[in-house]
Amino acid sequence: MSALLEVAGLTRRFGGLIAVDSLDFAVEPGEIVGLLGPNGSGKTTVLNLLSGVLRPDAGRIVFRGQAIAGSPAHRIARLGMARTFQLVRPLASLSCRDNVLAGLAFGRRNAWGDAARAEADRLLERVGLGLAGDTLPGALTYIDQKRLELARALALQPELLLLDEWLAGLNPTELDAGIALVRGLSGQGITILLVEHVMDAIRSLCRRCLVMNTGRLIATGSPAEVLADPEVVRAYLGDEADA
Amino acid sequence: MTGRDLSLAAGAAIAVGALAVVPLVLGDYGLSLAINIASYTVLATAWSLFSGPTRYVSLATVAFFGIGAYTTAVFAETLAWPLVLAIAAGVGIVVAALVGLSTLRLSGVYFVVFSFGLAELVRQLVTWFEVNRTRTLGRYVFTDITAAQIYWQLLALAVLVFAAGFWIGRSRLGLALRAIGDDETVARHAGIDTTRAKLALFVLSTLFMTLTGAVMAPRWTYIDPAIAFNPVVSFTVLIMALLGGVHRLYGPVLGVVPLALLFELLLARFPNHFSIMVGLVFIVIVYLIPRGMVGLVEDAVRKPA
Repeated sequence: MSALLEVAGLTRRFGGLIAVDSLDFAVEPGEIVGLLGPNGSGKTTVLNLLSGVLRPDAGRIVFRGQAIAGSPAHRIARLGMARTFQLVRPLASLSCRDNVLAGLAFGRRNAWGDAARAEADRLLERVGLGLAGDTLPGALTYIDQKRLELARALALQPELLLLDEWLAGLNPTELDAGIALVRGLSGQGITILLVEHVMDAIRSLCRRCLVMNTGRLIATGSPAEVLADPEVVRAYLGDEADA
Repeated sequence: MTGRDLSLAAGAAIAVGALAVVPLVLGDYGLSLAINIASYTVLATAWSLFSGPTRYVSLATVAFFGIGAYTTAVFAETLAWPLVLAIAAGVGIVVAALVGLSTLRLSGVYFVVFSFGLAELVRQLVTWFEVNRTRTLGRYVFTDITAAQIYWQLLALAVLVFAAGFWIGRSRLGLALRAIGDDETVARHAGIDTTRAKLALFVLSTLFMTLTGAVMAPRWTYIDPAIAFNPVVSFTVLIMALLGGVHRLYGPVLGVVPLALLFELLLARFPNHFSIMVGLVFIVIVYLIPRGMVGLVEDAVRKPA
């Protein structure tokens, strides 16, 4: 089976800083892959390159057999890649239902009218916001805004979902619910690449992790393997001499 | 169609019917005032059609208004009137598409500056062309179009611009534009081709401005680039729309009517200090009514509840 997402030689510089340095990895259909690394290691930049916020300086990104490096974000979204943002970005002047409707109307579903509105409500219910259809996102708690972003992403009927610290800032109960939700999405055949710092979530969700440091991939493997890797420990904690 | 839509349509039909008989009732002075208000209603509503949801503040209104006026000046004597309007529309659409494709990637203050520069650029191009090719700067506009006919055409344009706004508000395009106004990056990630949506609306909005210019040109009988491309028109439209409120379709009208009447009064009473007065009015509006008349109306409605 060929990979859903293949990245080769992906590079992005900001001035003199190489944020992402010739990265190679692949994501197979159905996987939940964790993308780890200390702050500033380039994880969010990778997501921005994948989803089309940024153009790579070099390298190839092949998604569902199509080269998408440098494509506009709306084309990538319609191809079946959806994402959430590290700091939630709801569409503030639109009701929750219209937030989701945007993804339905312009994504692969291309749905409009009463059927689309019903579908939007169904997606809100799926993420636990069943009663919030007419509410403005500003009235929601931070956690619920995260749920809203997820519903908007799901409206695109993605094959690959990029979650940027979607589980960060949740209390233990919410975290359990969040993990169950992500696992449920995976069970429905959505492939997931998640940037995450919450180790409990990574251990319980991911069979495979990629670890980045200063723009480069320094380890891949199961959560237990990568967390035991000396180079990963060094990236997070520094050399013994520094400690 | 719901019952609310039907009563809205009926109310609009009655209003348009009442407005249509205005030229038969009013004298010359009243009619010229009505034409002024009608023309600014179309311009300000068309302006907020694009600038309201996208939050791109455009000062290019008079560029398109002037293009329309000049098209009339060049062709009105030789061609049938509908053909003149069609040519104006065509030229306006082509210019808007070119400008839109090259500028709608700009954001914030860069777009404001560019749009202001555009009006000046078009004015200078027309001046250059007139001086070097036709060897005369001004043109006379001779038509047998009466003031009442101008008013009725503007009224028709107003109906069309409101219908367009109503339709957009309920269409996918409207949702796309509100999403763009909130967060363009998120809009793109929802699958919205933001450049195309903005371009479509920019072309539609400026089309109404171009046609208004074409319809208004016979009022002057003589135009030159300084009259047709007077930047004060862009600023006036902007401040009228802001006074009214750009987030409701009916908003700009609430700004157009009082300001048009006020400007008329100032021009009559203080002809030498008109610009200073207008400047003061602009400042007062921005300071005291930042959310526009719509905001005042909505607050008044909400308070008793």
